[in-house]
Amino acid sequence: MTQDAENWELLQELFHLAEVTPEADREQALAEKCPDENLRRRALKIFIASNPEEPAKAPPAEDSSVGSRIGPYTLIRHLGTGGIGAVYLVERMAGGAVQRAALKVLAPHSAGSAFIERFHREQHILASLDHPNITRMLDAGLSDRGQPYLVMEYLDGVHLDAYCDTHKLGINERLQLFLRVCDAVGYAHRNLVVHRISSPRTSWSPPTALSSCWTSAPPSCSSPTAA
Amino acid sequence: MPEAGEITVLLRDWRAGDPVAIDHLFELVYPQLRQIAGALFRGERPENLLQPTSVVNELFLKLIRQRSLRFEDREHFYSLSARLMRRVLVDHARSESRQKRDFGIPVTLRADLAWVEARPAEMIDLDRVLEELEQLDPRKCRMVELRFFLGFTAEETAELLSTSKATVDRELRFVRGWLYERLHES
Repeated sequence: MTQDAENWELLQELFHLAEVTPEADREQALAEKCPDENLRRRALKIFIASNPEEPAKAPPAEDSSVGSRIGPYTLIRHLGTGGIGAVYLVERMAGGAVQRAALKVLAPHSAGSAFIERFHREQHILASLDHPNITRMLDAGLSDRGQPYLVMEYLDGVHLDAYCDTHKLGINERLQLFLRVCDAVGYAHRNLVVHRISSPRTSWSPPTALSSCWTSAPPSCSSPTAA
Repeated sequence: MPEAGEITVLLRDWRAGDPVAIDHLFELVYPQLRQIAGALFRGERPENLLQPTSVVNELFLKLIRQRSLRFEDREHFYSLSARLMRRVLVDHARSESRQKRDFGIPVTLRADLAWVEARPAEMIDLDRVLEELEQLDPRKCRMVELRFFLGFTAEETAELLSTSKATVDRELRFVRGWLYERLHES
């Protein structure tokens, strides 16, 4: 593309500057380097595309959001921050009983069409998977502030490697667990979904059932509709 | 069999922009790369297969022993082999998409040899975008080919291109973002 040819070197400089600048100062740092807004935007887009798994900075207001509500859900505790948003333990009243779940909400600073698209794709993928070892999606929606969110089963488990170590599992038992992870991954593959960051850290072992926690569905996931 | 020094001359010609040279080299390397690619496409277990790098390494040593290639030409030789691997894969993707068996997953460019599971249409798109990259920055294009098509590690790629691993990592981070961006905007 001609615009890149003209600014090829500058584009790379901006990209590498974005890499080493904390997110809060990024726009400012790039603006000092280059007055051309289109070029800056392009460098940032390339930067974002180069980091599908870049963990977003935890939204500064996350602790204050505990106790607030998103849709019908009350935020109980911040569980973690993934590539594009924060995950909370939430509760809601369902027929007089308290239902607990994990709610993932797109971080406000991540709001961009590429992120939103990825988030929707993740929703779509999760909704299409039905396997005992893959966390189930329960709900999805938009918050009052227009942030997309999705709600998944909440697993109160530990990372698989930690589980194996604390229980001092032998090789056979570890392999048994591994086969169950393979079963879930195989199921996903048969549905044309690839989890690109599968690891003991994305697999959880709750006390009763092994579940693979599909917390992220980066761009390598595709639905079979694309022909 | 190629004569003594023949490959060296062909590689020089190729680098100097002689399009005929690549055809000669193509005949020499292509069948062997195709064999690996073919086995992968048939779904044979990758761990039982020769990796493209080892096939190319063997060929390189053979040509050195026959004195049809000089050691100083190794960067050219490997760059060319990587380019040919790309061609093997794109040829395969074209024939696959003609047969309308277009399913699989998108190109990821993440793991080594990520193309193994690439969907034909995406492979063709990637090839087109790499063509643009070649125009913009031939060196980066070569880096992508060595790293992602031939399956060299970042260290090996750096050594071949006489640079540091840090530079390769840094440039490939940019290139990967750029390629994704180009693939998704078109």
